[in-house]
Amino acid sequence: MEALSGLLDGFSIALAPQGLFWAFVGVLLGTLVGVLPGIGPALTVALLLPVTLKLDPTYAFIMFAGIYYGGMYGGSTTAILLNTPGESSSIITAVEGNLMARRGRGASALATAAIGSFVAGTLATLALSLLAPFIVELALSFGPAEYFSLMVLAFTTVSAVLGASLPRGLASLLFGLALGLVGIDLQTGQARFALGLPQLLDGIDVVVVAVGLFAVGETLYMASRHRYGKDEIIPISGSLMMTRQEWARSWKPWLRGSALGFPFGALPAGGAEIPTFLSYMIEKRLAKRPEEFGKGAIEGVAGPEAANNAAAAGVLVPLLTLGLPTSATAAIMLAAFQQYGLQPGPLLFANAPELVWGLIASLYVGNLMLLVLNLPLAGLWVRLLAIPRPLLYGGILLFAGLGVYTLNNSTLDLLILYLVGLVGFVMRCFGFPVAPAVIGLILGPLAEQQLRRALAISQGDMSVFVTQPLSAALLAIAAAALIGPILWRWRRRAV
Amino acid sequence: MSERAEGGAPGSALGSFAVAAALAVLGLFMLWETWSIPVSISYARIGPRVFPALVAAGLVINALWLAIEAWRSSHPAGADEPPIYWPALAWVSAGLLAEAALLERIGFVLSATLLFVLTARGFASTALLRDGMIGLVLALLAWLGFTYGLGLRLPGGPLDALI
Repeated sequence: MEALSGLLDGFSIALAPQGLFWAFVGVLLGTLVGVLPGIGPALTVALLLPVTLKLDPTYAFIMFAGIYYGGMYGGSTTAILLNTPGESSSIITAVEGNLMARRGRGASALATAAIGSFVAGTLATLALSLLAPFIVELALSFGPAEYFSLMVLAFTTVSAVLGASLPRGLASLLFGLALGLVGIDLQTGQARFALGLPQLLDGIDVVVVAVGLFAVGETLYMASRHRYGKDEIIPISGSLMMTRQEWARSWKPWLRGSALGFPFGALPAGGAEIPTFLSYMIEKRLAKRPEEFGKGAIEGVAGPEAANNAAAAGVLVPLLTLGLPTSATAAIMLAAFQQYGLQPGPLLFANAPELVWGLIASLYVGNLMLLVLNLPLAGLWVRLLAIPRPLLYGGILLFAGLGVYTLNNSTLDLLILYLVGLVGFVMRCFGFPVAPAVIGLILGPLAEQQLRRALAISQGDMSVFVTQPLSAALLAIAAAALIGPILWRWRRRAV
Repeated sequence: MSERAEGGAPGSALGSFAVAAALAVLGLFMLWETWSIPVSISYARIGPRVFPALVAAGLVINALWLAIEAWRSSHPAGADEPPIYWPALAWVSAGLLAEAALLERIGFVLSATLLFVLTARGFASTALLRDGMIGLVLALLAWLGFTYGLGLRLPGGPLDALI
C-alpha cells in the first residue's frame, strides 16, 4: 500500500505544529472570504501568490487548500442567511437554506450544511487518497496526444457547464486562451501579440487577470447595481444543535450528496454546479414530504451542500494527478504550482511526495477545523455580513491593487487590471461565465505545448489525435459535450 | 458569481450584438497579428502560428454563433435587469485609474486611500471623513506589513522621507 505510507508521511507533516498552523490560517482566511460577499477563494489565493513566494511550498499549499475548503463552508453561511450565493454551486443552498432561515430554522440549516460539508469533505478526501495513486499510474502512460485531448475535453466541459449559454462559455474560454498567448513563445523565442510593449513580452500575469475579473469586474458590477435592492440579513434563530428528527432527515442526503458530488468533481466535467442540482432533485423525489421543498426542507440543504463539498474535493483529483484544473480556484492553484517551478501531474507524486501527501492529509485536518470553526462560531461569522458595502468593496479594491502592483512593481499592471476588470464587468452583465477565461489562460499555454509535442512526434500528422484510441475517445466525449446539448434541443423542438 | 436560471440569456439584444462584434474584431486582429509572427522554415508545420490561428478562428466563428443567438433570442431588452447606474461606475473607475496614475508619484498609502474613498463613494457612501480614515489606516497597515514584514518595497511617497 504505497498510498497508505504516503498518507501517513503526509499526516506527519500536516499534524506537525507548522502544518497545523498554516492549515488553521488557511481555513480561517477561507471562511472569512467565503462569508464576505464579493470575494472568494480564487481571488484570495491569487492575491496571496506574490506574498507566499518565500514560504515553503508544502505549507503554502496546505494554506491554499484550507482557503479552498474554508471558502465552501463560509459560502454556505452567506447563502443561507443572505440569500446571495457566493458561487453558482451554492444557488440551491441560497434558495432552500434561506427559506429555512426565514421560517426561523436558520440555525438548523447552518448546522446541517456544516456537518454535511464535513461528512462529504472527509469522505471525498478519503476517495481522493485512494483514487489518486491509480490515476497517477494510468497517467504515466499518457503521451502528448492524450494530454492535449484531455485538455480539450476540460475546455469544452468547463465552457458547456458554466454560464448562460454554450457560446458564452466558449467566448470566455477563447478570451482566456487569447490572453495566454501574449508574450514570448517559449519554443521559438518569437514575440506574440506583445503590441510592441516590452512589459508584455513576459506575458500577462494570471494574477492580474484573475483579480481583474473577480475583484474589479465584480466590484464594478455591484457598484452599478448598488442603488437597487437592499440586502436582508436574517438573524440566526434557534439552537445550533439539530433535533433528533433533523439528524434523521439529514444523514442520508449527506451520503447521497457525497456520492454524487465526488465523481462530478473528479471527472474533468466542470465542477460542482450540476451535482448540487441533481442532489436537490433526487432528495425531492425521495423525501417523505416533498411538499416542503421550495418552502425550506432540510434535505434540500443537506444533500446539495454535501454534493458541493464532495465535488470541491473531487476537483483536486484531476488537478493533482493530471495537472488539469476544472474550476477557477484549481486554475489559480495550478498557477501557484508553476510559481514554485512545480508541474502537477503524475510526476509530482514521485518528485514531491511530501508536498502532495502533506496537502491531502491537511484536507482531513482542515475539514475538522472547519467544523469546529463554523458550528459554534457561526454567530461570529455572521457579523461580518454587517460590514457596510462601501467599506467592503473599498477594502477589496485596495488589496487588489496592492497584490497586483507588487507582482512586478509596475503601474502598467494596474492599468491592465482595470481593463480586464471592465471586460469582467461586461461579462457579468451579459451572463458570460468568468471561470473558463481563467482556466483558458492558465491551461492554454500547456495545451499548446502538448499539441506541438504531439505533432512533432507524429511529424506534423494531425491524425495522431484520432488514431490513438484513448485520445480519440477523449475527443469524442469533448465533441459530445459540445454538440450533445444542441442536438437535444433540436430533438425536443421536433417532438 | 450568480448564474441566472434557464431561459433567455441576460443582457439586451443590441448589447449582445456589440459583444459579439467586439469578439469578432479581436479574432480578426489576432489573425492579422498571427500572420506577422515570423516563422523559420524548420518550424513551419508546427510553429508558433498554429495555436494562435486556431484560437483566432475560434473567436471569429464563436462570435458568429453569439450573433445568431442574440438574433434568435426573444428576450426583451433588459426586461428583468435594472439599468446600469453609470455614476457609480465612474467613481470606481476614477479610483482605479487614479491609483495607476499616481501610485509612483504620491506613494502607495495615499493613492490606495484615494482608491478606497472613491470606491466607497461609488457605493453611495457619503461619510467621506470616515472612509478616508479607514482607508488610510488599512493602506498604512498594508504598507507597514509589506515594508517591514515581507521586506517588499512599495513606493512610500511622503513616507519615504520619514524612514
